[in-house]
Amino acid sequence: MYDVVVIGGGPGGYAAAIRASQLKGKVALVDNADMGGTCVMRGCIPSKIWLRAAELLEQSRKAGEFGLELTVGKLDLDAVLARKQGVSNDIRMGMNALLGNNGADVVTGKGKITSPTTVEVDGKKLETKNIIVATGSTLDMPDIPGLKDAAFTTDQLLDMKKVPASVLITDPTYIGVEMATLLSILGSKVIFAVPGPRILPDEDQDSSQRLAQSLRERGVQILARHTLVKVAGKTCTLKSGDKEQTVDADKVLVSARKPVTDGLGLEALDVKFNDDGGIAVDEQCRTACPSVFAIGDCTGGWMLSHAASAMAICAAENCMGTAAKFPSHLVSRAIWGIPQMGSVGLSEEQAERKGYEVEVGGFPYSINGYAMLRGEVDGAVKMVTDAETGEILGVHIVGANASELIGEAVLAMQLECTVREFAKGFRVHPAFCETVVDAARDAAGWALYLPKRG
Amino acid sequence: MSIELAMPKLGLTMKTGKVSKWFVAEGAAVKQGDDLFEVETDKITNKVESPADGVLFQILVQPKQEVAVGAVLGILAEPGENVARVEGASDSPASAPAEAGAPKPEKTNGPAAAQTSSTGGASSPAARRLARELGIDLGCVTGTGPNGRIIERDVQARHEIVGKIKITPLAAVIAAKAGLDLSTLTGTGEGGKIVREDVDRVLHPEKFVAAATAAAAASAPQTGPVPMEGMRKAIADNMMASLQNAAQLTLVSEADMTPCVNLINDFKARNKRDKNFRLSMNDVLILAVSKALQKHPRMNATFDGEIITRHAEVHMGVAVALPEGLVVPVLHNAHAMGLLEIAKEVRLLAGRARKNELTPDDMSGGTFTITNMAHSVVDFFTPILKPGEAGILGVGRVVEKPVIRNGSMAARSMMGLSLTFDHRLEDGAPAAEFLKTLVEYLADPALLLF
Repeated sequence: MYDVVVIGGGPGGYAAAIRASQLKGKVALVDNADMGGTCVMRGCIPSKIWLRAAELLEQSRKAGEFGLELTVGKLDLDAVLARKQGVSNDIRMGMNALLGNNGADVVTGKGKITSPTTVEVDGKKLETKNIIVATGSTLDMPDIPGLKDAAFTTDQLLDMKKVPASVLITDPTYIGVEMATLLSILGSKVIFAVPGPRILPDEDQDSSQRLAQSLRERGVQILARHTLVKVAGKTCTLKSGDKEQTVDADKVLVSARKPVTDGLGLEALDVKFNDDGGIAVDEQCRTACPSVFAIGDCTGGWMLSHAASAMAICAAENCMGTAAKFPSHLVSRAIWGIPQMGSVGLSEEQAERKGYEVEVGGFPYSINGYAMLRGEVDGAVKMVTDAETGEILGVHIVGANASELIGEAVLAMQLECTVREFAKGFRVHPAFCETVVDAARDAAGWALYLPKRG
Repeated sequence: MSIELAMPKLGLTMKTGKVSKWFVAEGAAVKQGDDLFEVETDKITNKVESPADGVLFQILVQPKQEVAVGAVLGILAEPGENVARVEGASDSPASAPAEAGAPKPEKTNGPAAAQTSSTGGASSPAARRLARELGIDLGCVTGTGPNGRIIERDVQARHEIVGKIKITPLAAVIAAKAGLDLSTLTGTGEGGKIVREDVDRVLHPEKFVAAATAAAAASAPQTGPVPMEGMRKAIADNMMASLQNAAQLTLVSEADMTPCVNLINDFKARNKRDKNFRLSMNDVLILAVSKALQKHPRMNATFDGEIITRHAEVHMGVAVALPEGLVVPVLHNAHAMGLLEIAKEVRLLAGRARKNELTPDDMSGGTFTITNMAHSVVDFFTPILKPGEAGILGVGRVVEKPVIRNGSMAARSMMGLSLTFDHRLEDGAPAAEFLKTLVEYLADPALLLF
């Protein structure tokens, strides 16, 4: 009898297995393929290797600003792929070793839940007190006529040996923005057609506008309120209201993802599902079936690796009898473009809709000494706070290192620091992170380095 | 500069208070520390001292008038200071609702609330000075001086207790704004630190009971010991309080629901193309009970321990069963709604209840409650009053029974009605009259048109 059987060996399942083992649980992890999940093999890690290559390429082109007379050769895609493979392998080896080190059994095969306390793997029955479903997500190929032939999936992109001459991107979220940045730096002509009025519809309007502007400056054509309805060869038909127009693209990026829940036997357990197909869980990551938990992409929503591993800790602790809650308001988001984006919490608009009396503070990178000396002045920090209590409701950063800087805000929000305390903090100088404190001071009404407010 | 004397918050749960007497007449001079007025709540009586030397310039709230915490009760002026009088506040009748009293200004001048001390125990000037310096609320300090007088040492002791309390900055701000005494909070953060959720649990308990109990129910074993906590505890406390504090008597009767059943079937048939059309027997019951209550307002009453208030408006509590327990959201102004509006609003309320999104407003202000067991085999039962309300109607199943009509037997759809009322407030006769009207309405729903 196991204490916990985890189904899925991605960042969620892996963390859940280790955490449950740490709490003296007898744990099995079931995965039908290599460990690592989307994150390590087809998502976070490979895409950031590509974006690092693009960043270096762009920096080397600008090296003249610092007196370096470089001749930049071509980008060897095979070398990037080799690096990607190497890093993914290293991480997977580390994961396997750590699971073994923690005493968790790894069972290879497809897991199916046959009762609230039984998981069957290829005919072998594992009896367990608790089950954690961490089956992740898979590419969601939209049902659009002709799309299959032109489709360029993120899996294909991350394994590409040739950069397509032109690409149509329709995913308005993080993956779409990152791939638009990457492909445009690597020389593709990118058309970015999004169904709503803007890219990144769930992020703060300012972040969305800053990143859209940066993409436009790279030559990306952004078409708002356009939906792909048909693909014929290289001709893509977009619909906007009643009007249709065609654009030419060699490839159409398919990057949307959907939760993997089929074939697990969840329906028979009366597990409930959200509208997006994700498994519905409460704040303890528990499904409607009390002994079954679900974490990460298979619960829908943000579908972010770090959310999966945080949910994993929560689910594993609950399985082992330590009550825990997943603080979903602390899920940060990031985009590793140039510039980067980092965000956590509510946008200004969302905070207003929730009825807060909102006080916003801002600080541009353009007057941060470190950003100036490095020639990375694109970007700004925006802090959304509750005027009544000083609660930090959300922080939205666009600019260099934003994916790291957002950690400042996550920590502050986790420890329930108000904007008044944040504003009194100080950082090393010169550094990008000074901008976050400056934005807090602006929200608290005493920005030192900004002109006086009217 | 003048000082506004506000109704102090003397305890965690205090929302309103009454000035039981003014010790000083309007226009009289007072010294700091002199007794100014006495505040009475349902739990405690406190004397309030003058926060400064001056003249009691105006009394805005007369004795026996109940006002909300923070309402301005009077104005203390500096000797010789000429202050504009606040008009129209002191003449309001004693029966004015708690929200009355003088409007609270945006910013108060000087200390917002006058200093308070517990009954029988005044405070020494040194204690008051130290309390002011340390930001300690004297209402939270236990006096150890003669006659329970608060002395400097007590304030210092209190400061040390408060100083040891670990609390996040945000939780501290929210607790301070709500006037919560930190030493009454239980911290659930790392090492017992008080976090925002701990404060919210006290300020908005309704947001937490359902979720906590659902989780507990989900993880609880079917047999063996189960801690009495969360929603179970809340229900237990309410039920016991109700039974201990009211004289409950239940009258039962049967209603011939055949016409109502036909009416609903007819409405449904007419609207069968409209997928959103919903109408249930409960909706018809709410309408009929609202009409009957308007005819018998003595059953549409609430009682605060001293005064029975009979209401013209019907705010109908509708018990909704959730997996983790019962909640009773209130359909406000049910008397002003037509049948379809009732059907729609009740569904919205029940939806919010199931999603655990009920607001405090949704849960308060009820004047009567309906509890429905129609989906069971129960015909009659003895409903327990919602504390403070005069009546609750228990609804049984609708079942076909042989009934003698005009001398011959006929099959009719009958429903059991169980009316519990508080015998302290009303006698059996008016309750029976109300039940009679209700049975008549249900047997002939056309009467609801009038």
